[in-house]
Parts: sequence; structure tokens; C-alpha cells
Amino acid sequence: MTGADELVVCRGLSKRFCRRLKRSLWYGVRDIGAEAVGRRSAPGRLRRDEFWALDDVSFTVHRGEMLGLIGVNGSGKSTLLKMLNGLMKPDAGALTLRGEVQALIELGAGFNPILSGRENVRINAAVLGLSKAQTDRVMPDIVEFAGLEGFIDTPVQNYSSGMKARLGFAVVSQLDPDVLLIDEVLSVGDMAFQEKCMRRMDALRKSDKAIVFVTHSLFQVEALCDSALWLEHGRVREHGPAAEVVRSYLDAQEMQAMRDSEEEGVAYEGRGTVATRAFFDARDAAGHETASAQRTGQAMVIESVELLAANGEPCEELPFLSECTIRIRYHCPHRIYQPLFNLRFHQGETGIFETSMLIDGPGPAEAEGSGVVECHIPLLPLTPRVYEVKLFVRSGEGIADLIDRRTVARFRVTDDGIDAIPLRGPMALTHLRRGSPVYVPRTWRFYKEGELTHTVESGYL
Amino acid sequence: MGSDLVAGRELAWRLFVRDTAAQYRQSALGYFWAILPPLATSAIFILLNSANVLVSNDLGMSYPVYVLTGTVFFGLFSDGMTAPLRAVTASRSLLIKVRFPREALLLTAVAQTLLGFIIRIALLAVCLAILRPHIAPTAPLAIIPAIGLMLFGIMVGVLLVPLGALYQDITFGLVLLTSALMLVTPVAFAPPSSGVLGTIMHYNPLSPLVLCARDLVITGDTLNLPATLAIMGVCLVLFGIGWVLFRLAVPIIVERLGS
Repeated sequence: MTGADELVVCRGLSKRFCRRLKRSLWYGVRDIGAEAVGRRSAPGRLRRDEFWALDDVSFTVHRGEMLGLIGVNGSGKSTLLKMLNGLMKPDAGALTLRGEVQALIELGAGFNPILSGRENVRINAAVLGLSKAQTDRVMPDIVEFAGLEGFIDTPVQNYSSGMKARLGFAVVSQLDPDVLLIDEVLSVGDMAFQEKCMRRMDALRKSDKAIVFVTHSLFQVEALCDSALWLEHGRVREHGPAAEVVRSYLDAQEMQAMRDSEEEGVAYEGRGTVATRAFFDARDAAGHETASAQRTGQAMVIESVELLAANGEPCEELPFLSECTIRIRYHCPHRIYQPLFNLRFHQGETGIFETSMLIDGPGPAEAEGSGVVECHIPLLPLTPRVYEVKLFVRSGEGIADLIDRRTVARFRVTDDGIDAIPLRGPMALTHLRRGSPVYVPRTWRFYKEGELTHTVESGYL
Repeated sequence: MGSDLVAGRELAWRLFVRDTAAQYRQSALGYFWAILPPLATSAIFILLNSANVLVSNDLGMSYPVYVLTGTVFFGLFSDGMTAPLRAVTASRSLLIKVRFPREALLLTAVAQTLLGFIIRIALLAVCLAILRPHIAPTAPLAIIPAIGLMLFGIMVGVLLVPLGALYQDITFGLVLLTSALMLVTPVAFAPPSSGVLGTIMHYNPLSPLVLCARDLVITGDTLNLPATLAIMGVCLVLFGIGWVLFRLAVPIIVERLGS
């Protein structure tokens, strides 16, 4: 990549905002005064009630690259976009933009409710720098793209928000800038229109532009963007290939969700994170039921339940699509007839699958004293998130519960080994992590006139 | 600055059409509102005068003619003064979300003032045709102080934009300021030769412009023309300063107004 390919270059970009309106306005007056005499007021430091909305942000966007900006609300995404768009000046750092910059920021900005759609399109087009002749030429395309043929001369106040958004995107879709800034465009409109926008964005991406894209939809970032920048409290938390940043972001979001649910005392039913272990330890220490809880006077006591990784070591995290073993140590004070072990895998309250001797059949005819039983699963078909294992044991008659159903283990399937499957789809990671918990190997076959034309393998067959 | 002015031309026209259409479309009387205020103001003063509430010196013309010309010419100034801030406020959502030549907003303000100018001058012509006073041959020259009054108003308005976009107080204050200025400008009565009001009116830079415009139309007196030209020169310089300040202030206004 040469310097000429670097269409957006940010170095140490910072911006401060004020929490209080009255003081913010007063700072504004002072800033204008300082600008008027060619100075900057209080450079490089915070005044009272101020905070860094953006703090030392650096990145580069090359020609043909699409950068996704992600982060929770208030992390500085829109501020950064406004600065890239030249609406605000940075308080520190340098910003270089090459070529024409256009922004698609909050659709329908500046639409006047009592004017018709057509009149508003003319205004929006003029705002975006299109001449009257150009506007007249593209007007039919705009109306068609927006799908508003019958309503274009109706006042915009009678439009639904989706119609307004469609019209707004239609106007901007006619532009041909070098750098395009997009803010949450696909969050409105119906499915068909979102599809249309996605296709349009995909076309833009392939057309040698630099695109900066702000969204809360990680699906879109993964599907459309080459790289992603994760902002947290105005700072760059992570910047790199879109899939990797999305993966870290999901992890952190989940860690937060777990913390929140713990604080609220609500059982967490989502996926696992690196904090899984700490979370479980804290819960167990707090006196929740554990696998080794002793109960006297029962026919069987479960002494321990361990989850073993492929190397035979106990673990709480397993790689994706790996083998695993569940080892149960039990003690029977009296002789019992044909113990039948049942393990049920849960995600939150939802049962996913079970390994059951009620199906597979009994082992030894009787059990007395201490013993160990292992259930080996050669390929655990679970996608990356947190699961629980519940155990119950029945005697050979299959009626009496020797051990009531209880949670005996929690574990997390990690992203390790995820690269062993092809992940060729546009939303592979997010779909894998947020879709169904069960991963089933498969093959897709396409036929035309009886001839096999395409084969798509999921891997692990 | 100049290139932005050119780039903003077409947009300014669109914004002007939008604001004007939006201003009157949702009203039953429509454009009639553009001529009603000066007529109402004049009517009130004529009524007050007929009841001898106002004591006026020798005006050199009938009182209705004096008041009408005064109100119409002063209106050019007050239109100009409110236009820039109004244009900025009307496009606030655009301003904070979209980058476009900011000069378009100033041009919109100028266009709106010019529309007001046309309406007011037409109104004055109709009224004078009814009242039939003596019209001086210098009447066409009144365009000079008329432009001066608009320039004066826009200059003040542009200088107020940085503060006015941040603080609503300016918008509220402008209404008060307009009425106050009208009373210390020879709009409805001639400047008293003595007293506090006389002194204020004497030093009020708007006075020569209003007097000059009226005199050129009715009496043909050019006494105030040199002062008018000098004031217009000063206004032009101050307008230039206001324009630069406006450009500097917009990014700061955008960040303070937020989203």
C-alpha cells in the first residue's frame, strides 16, 4: 500500500466534551473567542466537567477498504464520524483525508415535514452538492430505489420512518465519493430494503472507495467490513481484521452481561467468556449447590464430576468440536441394582442433547462402594458459548431416582479450533456464536440438469 | 471563502425556497403575512397620531406617509437583522449532521431579506399611490439607503449568529431590541431637537439611513446621503468580520449543539 492509497489517516485524534449544558455553551463562547484571535483555549487538557469523548485515536483506511466502527453507545463512534466528515475540529491530533468525502449520517436529516418528498429530495441533493441538472437526471432512479413511486409528491410528514429512511438512502446512493462515511443506515427499513442497501454497500466496497461504517450490527461488520475499530470510552480498544475484533467485542459484551446478571441476581443464560471461571468460582464460593454436596441416607452419593479434555486433564473450557469425557466418582453405601447414568447438556434452561444409559443400556449389574464412570464423547457438537451438565441416576428398574436431577458441571466451548472449519460465509462467526448451539457437519450439493455443479463442505465430516 | 460562496449558491436557493414555502404553506392567509406586520404597525401609529397621543414636529409631509415610509425602511433593517440567525436555526439539523458550504446559510439570509425588500417596496408603492403625496425625482436613489439598511441589519445579524446559535437569549432579545431600536430611530416621529431621546436618535447610526431614504423619496433632500454612504462602508467592513467569525464559529456551534 502506498501513501496515495491511504484515503483516511488519523493520528492521535482527540475531542473533549462537556457534561453540563450551561458550561458547555459557555466553553463554546470562549472557544469561538479564542478562534477569533487565532488561539486554542486550554489545549491538551480538560476544563471543569469535561471528558475525552475521543482520546488518542489513530488509524488508517486505504482505498478499497471498509472499516467498521463498533462500540457501545457513547463510546465515541458518531463523534469520530462527525470529525471525519469535517463537522467538528479535533482538539488534538491530526486528520488527513484524500479525495471527496461524503457522509450518510442519519437518514432524512433536514427533511422538512410539510414539503413533499420530491421537494425534500431536491433540497437534500443540493445539500450534498448535486446541481439542479444532476438532480433532475437522477430523480427517477432515486424514486425507484426508494420504492416511493406513488408517494413522491406527498408531504414527508405523512411518511413512515422507514419511508423517510429509504428516501434518504436513495439520495445518497446516487453519490460517488472517494471516502464514504455511513452511520447506522441499515437499522431502519424493511427486510427487502435492507437487502437492497446491503447489495449497494457491497457494490460500493468493491469499487475502490474507502468506507467507514458505524453500526451496532456485528453481522454487518463481519459480512461487509475488512477491518474493524472497537472504541471504548473514546479510546481504541482493538483494531484489526473485522472477524477478530468482532470476536473480542462479543467476548467483552458477554462478560459485561454476566457481571450485570450476577449483580441483578438473575441466572445468566448466554455464552461463556474468559471470565467464565472466575464467575463460576465466585458463585460456588457464595454457597451455591456444588456437585460434591454430600447427602446422607441416600442410595448413591456423587463425590465428584469432572470434565476432561482430550489430553485427559480436568478443564472448564473446551476447544470447538473437540472430544471430551465426563468422569463421575460415586459411592454407594449399599448394594444397588444396575445404576443408569444420564447426562443432559443445557444452555441456560434449554436442554440441547443428552447421553443416557436409559437409551444405551446398562453397565454392571450391580454397584457397591466407590466407583468411577466415564462418558466419552468423541466429538462435542456444541458452538462456542457456556453450557451446563445436569446429571440424574436411576436404578435398573428405571423408575426410582437414585440421584435427583442436578447441575454437576459448567463449561465453556471456546473459539479455539474454530478455524478448522472453513468459515467461508459472510456472517460465519457471529452466526456460529449467536445462532443454534449445535453444530452439525454437512455438505451442500447443487445440481443443474441432473449434473452436480457445486459442492459446499462444512468440514468435519 | 469566495469559492464556498459560489458552491453554496444552488443550495442557498433551495434552502430559501424551502424556508419560505415552509413559512407560509401551513397558514390560511399565506403570503399575506409578509405585508401584514408593516401595515399593522403603521395603522397603530396613525391611530395614535390621530388621537394626538404623539407630539410630532413639522414633518414636511403627511403623517401616514411619514410613518409608512419609516416602517417600511426600518423593516428592511429588522428583516436583515433576524434573517441570519433564522436561517441557521431553520437548518440546525442539517448543520450538525451534514457538511455543506456554510455560506449557503448566509446567502439564504440575504435572499430572504431581499424577498422582504421586494414585498415592502411593492407595499410602499401601492400605499403611496393611494395616499398620493408629492414624490421627489430623487426617489429611485432611495435604493442606496435601502440597501444600506439591509446591509446594516444583516451585518448585526451575522455578528450575533455565533452567540445566538448557542444561546436562545439572543433570539428572545432580538424581538425586544427591534422594538427598542424602532423607538430610537425616526420611524414614527421626527427626532426631538433636545432631550435624551433626541441625543440617542442623533447618534443612532440607523437614523441617517432611514431619514435619507425617506427624504430621497418624498422631499428630495440629500442631506443625509454622505453619512449614509460612510455608515454603509463601516457596515461592509463589519460584515466581513462577521463572516470570518461565522466560519470559525460553525464547527464549535456544531460540537456544542450535539446531535
